[in-house]
Amino acid sequence: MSRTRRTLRWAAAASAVALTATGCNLVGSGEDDSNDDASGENVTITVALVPDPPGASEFYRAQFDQFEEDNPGITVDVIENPTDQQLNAVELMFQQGDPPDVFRAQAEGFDRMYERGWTHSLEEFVTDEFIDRFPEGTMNPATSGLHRDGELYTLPLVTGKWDVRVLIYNEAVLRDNGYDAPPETWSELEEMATTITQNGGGSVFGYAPASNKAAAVEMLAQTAVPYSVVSEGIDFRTGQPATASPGMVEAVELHRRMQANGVMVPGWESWDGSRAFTEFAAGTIAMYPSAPWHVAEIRKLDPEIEMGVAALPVPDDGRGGYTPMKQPFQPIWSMSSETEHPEQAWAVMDFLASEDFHRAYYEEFGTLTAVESAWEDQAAENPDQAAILAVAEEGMRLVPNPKLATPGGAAILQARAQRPELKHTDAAVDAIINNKPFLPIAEALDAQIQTFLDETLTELSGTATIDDITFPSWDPLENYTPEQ
Amino acid sequence: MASLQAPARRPRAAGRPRAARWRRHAWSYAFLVPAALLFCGFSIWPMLASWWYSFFEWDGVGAPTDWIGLDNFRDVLGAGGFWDAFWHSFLFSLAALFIELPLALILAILLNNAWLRGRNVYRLALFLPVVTTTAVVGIVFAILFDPIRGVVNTALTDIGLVDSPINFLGSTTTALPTLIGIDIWKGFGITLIYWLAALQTIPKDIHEAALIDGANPRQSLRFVVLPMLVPLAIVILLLVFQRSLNTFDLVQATTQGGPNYATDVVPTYIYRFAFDPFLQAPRYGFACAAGVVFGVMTLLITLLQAPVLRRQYKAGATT
Amino acid sequence: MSTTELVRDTPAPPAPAGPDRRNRWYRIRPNLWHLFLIPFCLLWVYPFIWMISAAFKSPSEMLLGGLSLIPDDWTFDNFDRAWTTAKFGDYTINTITFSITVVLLVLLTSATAGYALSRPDLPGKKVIVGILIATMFIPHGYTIIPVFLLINDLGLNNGLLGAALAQAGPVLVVPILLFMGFFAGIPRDLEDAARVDGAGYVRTFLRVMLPLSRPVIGTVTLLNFITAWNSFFIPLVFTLGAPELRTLGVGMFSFFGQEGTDWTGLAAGACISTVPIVIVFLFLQRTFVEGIAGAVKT
Repeated sequence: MSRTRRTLRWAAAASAVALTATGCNLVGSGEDDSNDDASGENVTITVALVPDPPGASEFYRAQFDQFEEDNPGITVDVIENPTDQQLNAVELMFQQGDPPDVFRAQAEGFDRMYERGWTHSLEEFVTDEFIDRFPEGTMNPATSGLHRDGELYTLPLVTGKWDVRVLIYNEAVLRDNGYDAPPETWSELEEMATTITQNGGGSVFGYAPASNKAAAVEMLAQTAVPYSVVSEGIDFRTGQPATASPGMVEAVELHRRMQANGVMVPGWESWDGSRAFTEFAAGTIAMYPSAPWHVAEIRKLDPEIEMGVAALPVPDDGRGGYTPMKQPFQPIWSMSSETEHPEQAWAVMDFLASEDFHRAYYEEFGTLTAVESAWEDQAAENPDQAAILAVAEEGMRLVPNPKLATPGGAAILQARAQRPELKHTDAAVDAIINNKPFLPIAEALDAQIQTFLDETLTELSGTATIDDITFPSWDPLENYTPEQ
Repeated sequence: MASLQAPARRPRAAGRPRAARWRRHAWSYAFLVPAALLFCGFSIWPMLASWWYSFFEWDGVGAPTDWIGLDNFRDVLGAGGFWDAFWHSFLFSLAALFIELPLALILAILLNNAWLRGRNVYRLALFLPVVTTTAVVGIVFAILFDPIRGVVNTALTDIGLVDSPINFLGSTTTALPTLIGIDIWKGFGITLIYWLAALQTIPKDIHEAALIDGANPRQSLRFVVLPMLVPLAIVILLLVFQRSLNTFDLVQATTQGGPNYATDVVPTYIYRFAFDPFLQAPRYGFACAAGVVFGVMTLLITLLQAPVLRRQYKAGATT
Repeated sequence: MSTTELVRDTPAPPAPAGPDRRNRWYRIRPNLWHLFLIPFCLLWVYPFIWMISAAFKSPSEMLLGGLSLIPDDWTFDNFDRAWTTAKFGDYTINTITFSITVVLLVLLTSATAGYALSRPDLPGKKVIVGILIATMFIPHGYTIIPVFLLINDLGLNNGLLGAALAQAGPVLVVPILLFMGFFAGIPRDLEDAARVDGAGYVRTFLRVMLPLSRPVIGTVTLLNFITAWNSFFIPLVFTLGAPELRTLGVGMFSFFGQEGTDWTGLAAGACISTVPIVIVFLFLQRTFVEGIAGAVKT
């Protein structure tokens, strides 16, 4: 009895000590003491970022320490948010009236911020020297992906080439099965994968569809049909629903056959994003379509692995599309419209887009960054990266992007984004796993997309028409240049 | 919610005995105030607010302005995905109530015995999964149950129980039962602790008195101990039910609702619409509507059980 | 019933006197349980042990290596990385403060409310309990936005108290019901005796009832401590403007990236952050194990 009581008393005492030690933390100071230095001497810039990839936390701190040393008078406060929560966290900070000066909002996340009027135009700060850092032509206000309404609003971290999709294959496994080159067509892919799985005895498999959402379907389909058919279910040449296009359907059917025949690695149905490269590094799978960052992860896990990087195989009857280059850059860094120190915030952003920073980032993580001059020479000597770059050169084409082309196009795509179920992804997984023919499913989806388009265009009448997402002159096999 | 505190301010009735009782009750109401404040602020108000939001097409930022009436509810009720998730959540609950609850009681009775040596160690062992980080649990079981290199499949094929490896987490038929099993493993310790605490509320003397009166241990347990457990057992039942309905982390960490939504539960369904980072346009209003429908449905299910539970409670309390 | 079958094999603590053979049987039989319990528990804790062993492996050994629990190459890098990545140094005190505050808030409010509601004759009791149970079934995950707005208006948005309130508020129902169920089970005579001795309502509660409720206090403390300790969303959202106040639950998410997860770092972090909980468990298990046995004399 008394022992228990003593335990409780002890715990109570410990609690009391801990609470008084940190009591000041409990209520919190309404005013941030480091932030009210308006006299001009020292300015604190808050940067909200995500500590991703592993090690980024220390990397950013070291970089900002360097920055502070070079820019006396500016202190950089880092707020790290978990990747998945960054957007929500920044949004809540805005609602709280205490937004960060500079924040990371990636791709569509930037549009969320921009539409709310929370981003600061960077046009006033931009110099010719700044534009010249990026490869020629990429900073065109009409297509850069970083401009909205002709003004620069956000800065990139990685090069547009990083959007390339590649086929990663295990040279040793291919060789053991009598193949000296990766597949170039879908039927070669199917045939090779089948053979390898049959010879693999349940421990080596020919193929994996990349993730539990069968992301490989999307990557392969992009070589068969215009990218918009894959991503939106709409053919941007005609403005018509087109999920039932033969190339799209065949991409799903290819996977469905391989699943039914037990060719694909079992268990992929519940893989998270990192299992594919783990299994590849373990030697379980011979090849899979992938985003290029997997290459570095595989090297990390097994530096010795005989890995090849090739272009994605194309349909037997020839290529019908390319991995899309919707824009040269993806948005990453933005400035808050509510910042009290735009000059200093720009100094930080300028640093984040400097050649030095981009080189350091490349060297630390092996990511091909937006300022290509920072890594061009080194990457040419790195076989993995050179291979990725070669595929990017061959396997990507500029495509029309309604979001950047007209406000109406942006509005339609925004409405479409609210209906994720219209995309082929879930239906395709369902077809593959449950062995259902995809064509009727695709036709049903197309009917829904047509209804959606009709409704949306009625709703948006006056601001958008079908012409906003129709580009009759577009040839998916060529680079697209918008008529100015 | 004013009803929580209002009675305390009622004028005192005349007459000394009643006044005295009122004074006693006044204290009771005063005792309710802190909980009432906290509860109103952080349970009732968010609940009412989310009901309000469910009538809007709203992305969760700024003031909701786009009133769309019952459209969100119409969408939820018409969404096949929601009902699938609902069914899965329900299965989680059934498993928790009919497998985890009784098993935990059996082990609690066993581990409550003073004669069992090392019971502290056993208790700790059974409790460890509770404190194991959920995300790690996800990867551990993914590796253990892997159809190619997983130890479970290796063992099963070696023994000869199965011919070919079972795709535990990847097949739409086995993923949900596997996940439910992992969920029971993860939550078992909590239920065990509840039962142990409940057993402690029964004075040892009563059990012993029954033995002295000639009852054998089994009779004592059956006719003396178990009936005394009933009031707390009903509370524990509710707790387990509620916890199982809110399974979220484990599903998110292990299968993210996959394969092909075969393990999607209502909390992951709601999360996808409200907070998924890959969502270009959050549908917070819709997520709120899904939450409301889910809450109302489970409440109805609970109410259907209420008469039975109440009878049990009364029977137990008077024993 | 399976329970009764189990008990058939369970002898009473003092083995009744009997013939020698039977006596020995009684002495051996309890030990037979170990034959079942030991392998069962080993299997049960296997994933936990796996987590510990992963914390000492290199990432490639953990992901590619076999299932051996003994690392080929012991490494402490993961702990190093965990300490800096998850900011254990900075966040531990915050986590202790946060968790203890949550536990205190929950105990204070739920014990008093549970005691008040344990009185069968309290007018309005049914309504209150009904509302409590009804709200148990409302999913809470997505109600964070209204809670956030409320805390913001109270001016508590950048302190751990706001986070603790937001954490404690929604979990109250369970502890209240537990306390209520417990207090309702305590014989009335005990309370009446206290009153005869001249103790008032508060005094009876503090001096007689509360000490008796140790098993419930232990349970509530333990479970809420664990939840608060691992809590992620709430401490994240309520320390947005003051990241130095974050807790380990938030820090742990630094291991998750868009492009893969630092599993061994996470395992190391999980090991470190589990230690305090295990200690708390060991402390508290006495309260619900030794509990009140023999304390309630009728």
